[in-house]
Amino acid sequence: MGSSTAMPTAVDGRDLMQAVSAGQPGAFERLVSAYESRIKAAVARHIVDRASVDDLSQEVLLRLYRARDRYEPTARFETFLYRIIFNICVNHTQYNRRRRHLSFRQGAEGDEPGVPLPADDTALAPPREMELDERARLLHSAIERLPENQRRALVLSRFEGLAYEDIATVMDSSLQAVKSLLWRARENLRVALAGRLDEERGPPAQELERT
Amino acid sequence: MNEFQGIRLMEYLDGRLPPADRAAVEEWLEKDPEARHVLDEQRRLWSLLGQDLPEPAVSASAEFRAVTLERAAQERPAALLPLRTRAVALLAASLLVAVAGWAWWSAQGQVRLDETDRAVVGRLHLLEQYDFLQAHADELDVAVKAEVLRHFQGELPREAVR
Repeated sequence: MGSSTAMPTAVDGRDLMQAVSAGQPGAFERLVSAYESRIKAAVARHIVDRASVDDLSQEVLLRLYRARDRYEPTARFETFLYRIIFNICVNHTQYNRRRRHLSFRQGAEGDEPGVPLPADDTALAPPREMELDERARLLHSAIERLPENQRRALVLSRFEGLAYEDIATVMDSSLQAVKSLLWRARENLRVALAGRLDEERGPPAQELERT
Repeated sequence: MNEFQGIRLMEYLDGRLPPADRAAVEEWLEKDPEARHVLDEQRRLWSLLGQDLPEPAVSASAEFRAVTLERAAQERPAALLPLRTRAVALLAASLLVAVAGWAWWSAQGQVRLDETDRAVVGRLHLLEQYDFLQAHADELDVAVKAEVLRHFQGELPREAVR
């Protein structure tokens, strides 16, 4: 049961990265062209602060470039890439959280208000246009209420299509911990969206096999 | 349903179980209506997550690519040697520095001894006796004193015996 939005393998990222490592002319440009949209989409799913998507995506690509000397072709390129994306997004979230905390304290102490701060960054980002219909809004709200680690594991699994083992590598966690996070995220959502799931209820499942 | 059972159900749903385990889960599902209910809802939830949430609206841009490539061009040049070779070279250099540092440090703590010093150090017990006799020289008979001196001159370097 994978995601339709997972990074396709039509472009072999490993070959591209090896070409970048070997210093082939134009290789990094090909890598940027092949992965730009996918990286932006992955970053957008992890942060709410939409104004930062381009900057963070650029940082992801530059980190890939800087890592060209130490890239081991034995590692799956997508896992390597998602680990960079994940770390950058988590750092960005923590940075914004600290800024909000400081701003709150300064505000409470009567200091000058600081620059406007981005919204809470811990949730799955809503689409830019915010023209979500009611069903999407409901789903969105349920995902936002998940604990951060559960939400990140769910995004990597459902929207980026990563296997449990790859999620464990990306999140620097154990396989069992990832399975636990994923199951709890899915159960929390199931309970939160019970009404919506009832609407969708079709005829009782006759077949036990997964579709 | 406990977490262990839930994870089994999730792995079943995600097609991650080997055939024997799949059969065991199916047997359990046959007997447990609650498990069937959870499985059914989980299957619909997974599908909802895909259909109800639109993809993030992002697009590729020439400006983004141009800026990224420009910034990459300002990065340091790639290393000429492969990572493993550089790691081995770094390790060898570190060991060399460590050995040289240790040798230097050891040399700092050592006292350089000449031949006379070594002879004295090798006979410290005699020197202690000699010093004792010197301290009590006034109490000794002249002939005994001369004999004692001859004895120590035979055993100790001349520089050590006054």
